[in-house]
Amino acid sequence: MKFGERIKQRRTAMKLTLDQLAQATDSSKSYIWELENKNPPRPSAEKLAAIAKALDVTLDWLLGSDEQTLEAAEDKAFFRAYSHMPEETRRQLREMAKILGAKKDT
Amino acid sequence: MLDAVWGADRFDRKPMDMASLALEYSLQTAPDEAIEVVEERHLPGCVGALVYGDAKPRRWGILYDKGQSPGRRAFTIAHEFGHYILHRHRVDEDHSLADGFYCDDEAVIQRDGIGIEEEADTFAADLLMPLHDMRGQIAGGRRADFDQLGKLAERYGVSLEAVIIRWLEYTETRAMLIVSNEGFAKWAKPSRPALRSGRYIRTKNEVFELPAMACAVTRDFTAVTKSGIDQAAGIWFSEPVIEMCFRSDRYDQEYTLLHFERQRDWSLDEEPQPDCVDRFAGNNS
Repeated sequence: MKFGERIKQRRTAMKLTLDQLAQATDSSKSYIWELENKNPPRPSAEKLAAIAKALDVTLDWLLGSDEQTLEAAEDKAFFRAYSHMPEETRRQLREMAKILGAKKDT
Repeated sequence: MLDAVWGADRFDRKPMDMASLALEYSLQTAPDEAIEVVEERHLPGCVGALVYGDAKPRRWGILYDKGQSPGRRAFTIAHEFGHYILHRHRVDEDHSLADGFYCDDEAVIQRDGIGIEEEADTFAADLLMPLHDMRGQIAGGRRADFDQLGKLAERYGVSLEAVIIRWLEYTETRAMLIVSNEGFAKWAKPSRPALRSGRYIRTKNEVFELPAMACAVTRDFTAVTKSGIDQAAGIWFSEPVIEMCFRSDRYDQEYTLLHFERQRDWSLDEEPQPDCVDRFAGNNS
């Protein structure tokens, strides 16, 4: 899950509107919306910290860094191509490629 | 070709079964390198993929993410089938395809991919919603509403979004779709005549807040707003529009269709050369 989804999930669970979270973090409403929906590539670290505080979570949780795992070296090629994909997706695609990699029974 | 096999009235009977078509067509035309599986998997961040094994001749498989509606699933499978038909020969030359084709929702649902993604989208749209049949259902000069478009979505077995995007590609009327959530536009797409008259909304690198009077903002979701209300000049644009709006709880977003009143000045009587606005907005829509 990307940080945008986490912010939205947490905000709606706390029944906060975009406006309320914007006010609590001294941000604009459109910036909060952008963070939630567009996952901009370089979000402001300062704002994210303020949001984490307002949502009563850690910055690590917001960024999902506690979930990240590294791939085994033998899967290097896959890892390069899929590095922006969640681990589960990479696993599923590898598994199917393996099944299809077996020689055809003739 | 498919009209010849199944009859020109085939869509009157049923939409296409994409999974069977992909399996059977590939087996008939390329028995050595056929698509052997079309399967649902849990693929977060990815709506569909075309994968293959290392052994040659290659064996192919199409995977699609869980939880897609039947309409979205049909488009996803058609898109991956498009990669198979159009691009499978490239995997030996193009190193970036060494792990197969995998496609996110921006490329498949918003039809906003570039290069091979765009080609696969066009392939899928042509296959599922042939223009000659669709024009027979809603003529190019006619203004469409959500009920008509919804009926077409059923006819072709695709999502409402896919049908609206397709309609916007051929309509001669000036119209625009805006998909929004909590008062901001996630993405928007104008018809070509609308774009050429300067009517478009940028959503790629900017955040567009819907006007306070828009039904999606006032949350006025009724049969009346779905079939269309008049919005005065200055609310959306400097000219009046007919606004049609409804909300999808399933996808947690609102769909707004704008129809611009004046049509005559922008009729498509000749093929226009894209100017810099077209090029810019085309990259952005």
